[in-house]
Amino acid sequence: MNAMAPPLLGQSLLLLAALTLFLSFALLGQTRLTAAIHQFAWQGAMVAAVTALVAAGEGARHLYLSALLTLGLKSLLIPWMLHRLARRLEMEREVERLHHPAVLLLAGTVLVVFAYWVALPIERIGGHASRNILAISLAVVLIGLWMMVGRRQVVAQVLGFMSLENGLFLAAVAAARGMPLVVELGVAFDVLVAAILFGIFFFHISESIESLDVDRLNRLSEEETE
Amino acid sequence: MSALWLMLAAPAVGALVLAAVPSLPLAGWLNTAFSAAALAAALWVGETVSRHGELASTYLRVDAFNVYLLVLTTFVGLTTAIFSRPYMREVCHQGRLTRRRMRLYHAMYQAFLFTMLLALSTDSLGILWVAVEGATLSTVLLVSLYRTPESIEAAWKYFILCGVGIALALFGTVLIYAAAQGVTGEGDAGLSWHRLYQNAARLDPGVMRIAFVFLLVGYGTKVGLVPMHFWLPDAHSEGPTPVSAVLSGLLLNVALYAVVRLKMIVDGALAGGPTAQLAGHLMMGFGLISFLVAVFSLRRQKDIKRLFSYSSIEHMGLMTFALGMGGPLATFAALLHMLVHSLAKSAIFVGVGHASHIAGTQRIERIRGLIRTQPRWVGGCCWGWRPSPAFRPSASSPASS
Repeated sequence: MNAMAPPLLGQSLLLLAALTLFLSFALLGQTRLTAAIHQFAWQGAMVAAVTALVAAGEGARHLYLSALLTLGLKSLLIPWMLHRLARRLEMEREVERLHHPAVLLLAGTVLVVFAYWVALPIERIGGHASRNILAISLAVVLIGLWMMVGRRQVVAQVLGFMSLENGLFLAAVAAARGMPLVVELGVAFDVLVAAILFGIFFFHISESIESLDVDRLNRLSEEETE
Repeated sequence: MSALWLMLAAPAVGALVLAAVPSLPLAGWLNTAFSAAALAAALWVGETVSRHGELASTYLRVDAFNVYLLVLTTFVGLTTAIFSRPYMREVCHQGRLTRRRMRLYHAMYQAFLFTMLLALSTDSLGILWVAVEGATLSTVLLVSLYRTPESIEAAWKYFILCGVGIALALFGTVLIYAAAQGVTGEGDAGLSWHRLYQNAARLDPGVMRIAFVFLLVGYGTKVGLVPMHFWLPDAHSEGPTPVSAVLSGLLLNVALYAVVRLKMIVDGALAGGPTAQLAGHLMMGFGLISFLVAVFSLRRQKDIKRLFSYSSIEHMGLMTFALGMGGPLATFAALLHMLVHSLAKSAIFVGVGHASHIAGTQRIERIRGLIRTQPRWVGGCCWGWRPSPAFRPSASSPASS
């Protein structure tokens, strides 16, 4: 992380961060639901691995707990819940048709460049690796955001939201060696509640519009037609 | 200190108790009672703060700024709870809601009050974030309480947009924490507003600039500032009336409160540099755009609750503008405006809910003849509508004069 850290540690951190970003892209272009959930689980595991590595490198004890929390929540519990929902809604084999997959992915690369540009002035905190990881985490956040805008299917949007939060966890670890424990627990609790609420919403939405395509959610608009 | 704990405990316990109470009439009374207890405790906090100047512990801190918001929040919480008891009973009798959903409603109402009070009284920027996110999560299911396709769509929009916004705010919070590492030290001190404010001049201006942009966009989404306001009219118009009242009257204030606290730190960090007024200018810009867009949208609304949601955006825009200007007079005007807006807007939503309940529709042109059947209601609403600038520009609205 800082200049003192052994190069191997810095390198492996960068590698894991890069893999996280790669998985973001994979998620962005993935149209098969089951595969997307798996990729999301792997992304959570990468973030947990980064956290554990930083914990080992810096000797920060509380980060082990945070790594465990991320692993349990992001790569086991939430993917499991999503799998179960997909099975109950009978959409495991569903394939979403993307309108412009190339544009979707190219915009993703533009976002990465933008993230590096934003992170350029941040020099004082940490060294070279830290700034790189901060830029990558911002890119993961932005790609998650873009996924929520660009994809039309509710589950894909939720995966975008959750991978966006992976980016936030990565940023917290990279830039500040994790948040204080109280905050960390609070954030984890919020993520868990959000995941449960998403599950409830899948059922409500599929009941009310008989599909999980957000394009059908168009009843509310400025000019109400009656 | 015990007053503060009592104030936070009242709605927290209330949420747990109400989640377990099956009887509808009892739940309505308990809801009112817990809200009244919170108000009493908040008044006690106010009295203590006025004597000692401030109340502080590791995670909580109440000073002259947030004590007034605490009292205001608990007061509107109580008045809305009083209104909600007969109103929700009526709705339930019509068969639009089941008993289970009524339990959810009461428990979430108290949970929502708890998260707002926590957000207002905490000293840690991290807990502030957790509480504001908690406020979103507790109200999402309230917006979709009726389970109509429209309300589910509104709740989904609310959830997704506010979720994204608040995620960006967390990124900003992380950046502030990172900037504070070398200044206030690690751990809870790095997120303590009080410590950050004292040491603001030593924080890295480059990081703080970027952080503030994220924080403003993030919390600004919850304030309802314009490019991020799309959730607001839907969520406020589709939810049950008491929920609209507390969302419009209280939640927006809490988000704006967060922005103001952060502006104070960022101003300290940027002072003396080339971009010393950045935070203020950004807020003024967002505020003005919100005000203008909302005024033009107001004229096109046909749904009475949507109309008043846009009026909320407009008021929040004015307050953001005034707070961005800074200075004692503008800040005082903004805070006075916040007070009047909270009281008037929650009263308006209650009144409008009553009217649309009688008329059986929310469309403005079909709600008529009320002055004959409900003269007292009309008198009350005229009083409440007075501070809306769109109806009578710049009169009696403190921030615009």
